[in-house]
Amino acid sequence: MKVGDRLALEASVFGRYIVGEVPSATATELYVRVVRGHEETLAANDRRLLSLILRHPWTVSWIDAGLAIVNPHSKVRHRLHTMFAILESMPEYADYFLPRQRSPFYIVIIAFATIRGGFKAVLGGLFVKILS
Amino acid sequence: MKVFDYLIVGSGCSGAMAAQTLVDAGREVAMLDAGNENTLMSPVPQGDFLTLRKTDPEQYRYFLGEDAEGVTQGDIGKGAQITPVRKHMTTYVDTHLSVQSDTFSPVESLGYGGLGIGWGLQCWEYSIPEMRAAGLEPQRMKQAYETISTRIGISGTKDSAAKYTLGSLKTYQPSPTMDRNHQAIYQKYAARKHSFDSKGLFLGRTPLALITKDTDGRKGYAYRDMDFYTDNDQSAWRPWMTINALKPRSNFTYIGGYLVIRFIEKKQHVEVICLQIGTNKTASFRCKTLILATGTLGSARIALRSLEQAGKQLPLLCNPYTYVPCLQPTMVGKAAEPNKLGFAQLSLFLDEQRNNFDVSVSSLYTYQSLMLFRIIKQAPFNLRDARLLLQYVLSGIVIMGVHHPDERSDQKYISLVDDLSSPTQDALKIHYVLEDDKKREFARREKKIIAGVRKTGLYAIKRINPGYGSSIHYAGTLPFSKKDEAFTLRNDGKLHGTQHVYVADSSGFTYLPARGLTFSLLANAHTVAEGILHNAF
Repeated sequence: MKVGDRLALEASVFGRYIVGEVPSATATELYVRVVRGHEETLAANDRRLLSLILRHPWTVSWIDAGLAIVNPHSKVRHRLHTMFAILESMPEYADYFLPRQRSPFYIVIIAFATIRGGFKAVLGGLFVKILS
Repeated sequence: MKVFDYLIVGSGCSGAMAAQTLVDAGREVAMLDAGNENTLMSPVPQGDFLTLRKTDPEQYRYFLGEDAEGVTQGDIGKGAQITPVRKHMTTYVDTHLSVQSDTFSPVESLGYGGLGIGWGLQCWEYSIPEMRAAGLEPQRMKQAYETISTRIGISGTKDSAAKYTLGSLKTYQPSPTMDRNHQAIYQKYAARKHSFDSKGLFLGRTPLALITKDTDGRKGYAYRDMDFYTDNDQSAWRPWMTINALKPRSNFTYIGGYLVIRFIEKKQHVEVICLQIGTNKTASFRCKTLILATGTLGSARIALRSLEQAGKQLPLLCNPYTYVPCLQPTMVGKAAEPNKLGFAQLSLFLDEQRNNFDVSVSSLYTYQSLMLFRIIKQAPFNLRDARLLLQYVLSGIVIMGVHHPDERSDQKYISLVDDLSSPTQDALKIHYVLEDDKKREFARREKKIIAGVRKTGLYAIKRINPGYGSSIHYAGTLPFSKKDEAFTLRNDGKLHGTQHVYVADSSGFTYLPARGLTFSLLANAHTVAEGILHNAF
C-alpha cells in the first residue's frame, strides 16, 4: 500500500474511533499532509501496533487506552492525538468537542464513560504489554 | 555612518515604554530589533470563539497551525499558551539564542513585540516592601505606574484585595464582567471572607492591560474569547501597538531584522555589533546612548560578550510556578458560555505575615478556548471516552496558576560558553535549582491555597510542575548595586563600567515578587528613560 493510502486509511480508522463517523475529505487530507510532513520514523513496536489497528480497527480503543497508561508518549498515540486535534478544528465536528449541556442522565453518562474508560485502560494496558 | 542619539535594543514591553518616553520628550530615537512578524498566517477572522468553531472551515489554521504545529508531543510544558498565531514570537530563538541547561527551560522571543506578544496582561503593582527588595525606588515607581496605566489602559476593581492588585493606582477602567465560573467563586469567597482572611488568603479581581471602554481608536473588550489567537480589537495592549504608533513620528526609526551581539564603547559613540537575521552577516550601528531592553537573559548575553569576562557567572531570578487544574462541580454539564474571556479574572494572594511581602499568588482562568486537544493527553483514558467526559466536565474546569517569589542564591546563575553550532558562536549556560527548604515551603503554601479554594467550590485535580523557567518571569542578571561593580546597574539603569549604556528591562531587579513582573517592567523602563532624559535622579 502506498504511504498516502495507508495514512488515509489511518485517518479513516482514527476518525471513526474518535467521533464515530468517517472523517471528511478535508480532515483526511490534512491528516495525511501533517503526518507526512513530520517524517517520523516509527519504532518496531509502534509499527506493529499501527498495523494491528489497521487490520482490526476494533482494537484501536483498547490500544489507545493501554498506551494512555503504559506509554502515553508513543508515536501511535501522538498520531491519534493529531487526528483528534484535526477533527476538533473542523466545524462539522464541533458539537463532538464543545461543552455539552447536561441531560437528565448526565451523571449516568459520566459514570458509564468513567467505568468504561477505566476498564479499557486496565485491559488495554495488559493488551499493549503483551503485544510489546 | 549615522550616529543615533538613542538606540533602544528590543521591541518588547521595556523597549516600547522606554521608546515612548524618549520620543514624547522630542528625542531622536532608533529601535534595533530582530522583529519577527507573523507573515505566514492569514488574519484570524472577526468573530467569537463558539461561532468560529461552528462555521469557519479554515479554523485549523489558527487553532492548530497550517501543519498542526500546535499539536505537540509530550506533556503540557512551558509556553502552552503560545498558540500557532503567536508562534512567530519564538521563531529563530532555538538557533540564535542558544541555551544549555539540564534544569532550566526559558522562553525567549525575537518577535516584534517580544514576549509581550503572548503576555497574560496581568498588571499588579509591587508593594513598597517588594519594590525596596527589588531595588526599585517606590516614589518614582508609583508615578511611573500611573503613567503606564494611562498609556496602555488598565482595567481593575478596588475590591477588598486591592492592596495586592491595584495598589494605589488611580487611573484605571472597570474590570471586564466575570464569566459564571468566576462569579460563583467570588460569591462563595465573599460569603466566607473572614475565614479566608484569618488564613492570610485574599481574593480579588485581577487588573489587566485590557480596556473595557473604547479609547484612542482601541475598542473596549468584546468578550469574544479569542484572546489566545488574535488582537483584532486591540482591547488587549501589546508592545507592537505602541511601536506602530511611534513609527510615523519623525523622531523615531525602527530597524528590524537584526540581533544585537555586543557593544563597544568608543570616545564619541557606542558601536553596536549585530547579526542580520536570515543571512547571519555582521552589521554595525552607532549611537550616543545605548539602551538594552532585550529581556534579562538577552541583556546579560550582550553584557557578557561586551565586557569580556570569560566564565563570569551572573545571578538569575525566576518565579517558581505550578499549575493546578481544578474542577468546579456545580458548573459540570453546563452549555458553552458565549461571552467569556481567556485572561485571568481572579487572583488569590497568600500573605501569611500580612505585610504584603513574600506573597504567593494564584491566578484563575477558565478553560474553553484553548480546546480539548491540549489537555486530553493528561487524562489516563482512551481519547473517545476522555472526549465524552471532557465535554461534560470542560465548563467546570478552572486552571489555577500559582507563582512564588524568588530571591538570589548560589544555585541560580548563568554564564556564557562556546557553542560553535550557534550563529552567535556561544550559548547561555543556565543552572537553576531551588533549595530543598524552598521546595518544601512552596509545596506547603500550594497545599494551603488548594485547601482555601476548595471552600470556593474548586477541587484540585492534580498539581503539575512544568519545570524551572516555565513561569516566563525572569530577572536579576545585572542587579542594581550601589557599588561600582562590573555586571551591575546603577539605580538609574546605567551599566556600571560604561559611560553610555543603560539597561531598561528587569535585569536590575534584586528580588522577584510572585506578582507578575510586567507592569513593573513597564514602569521601570519608563523611569530609566526619564532618568536618561534628566541625566540624574
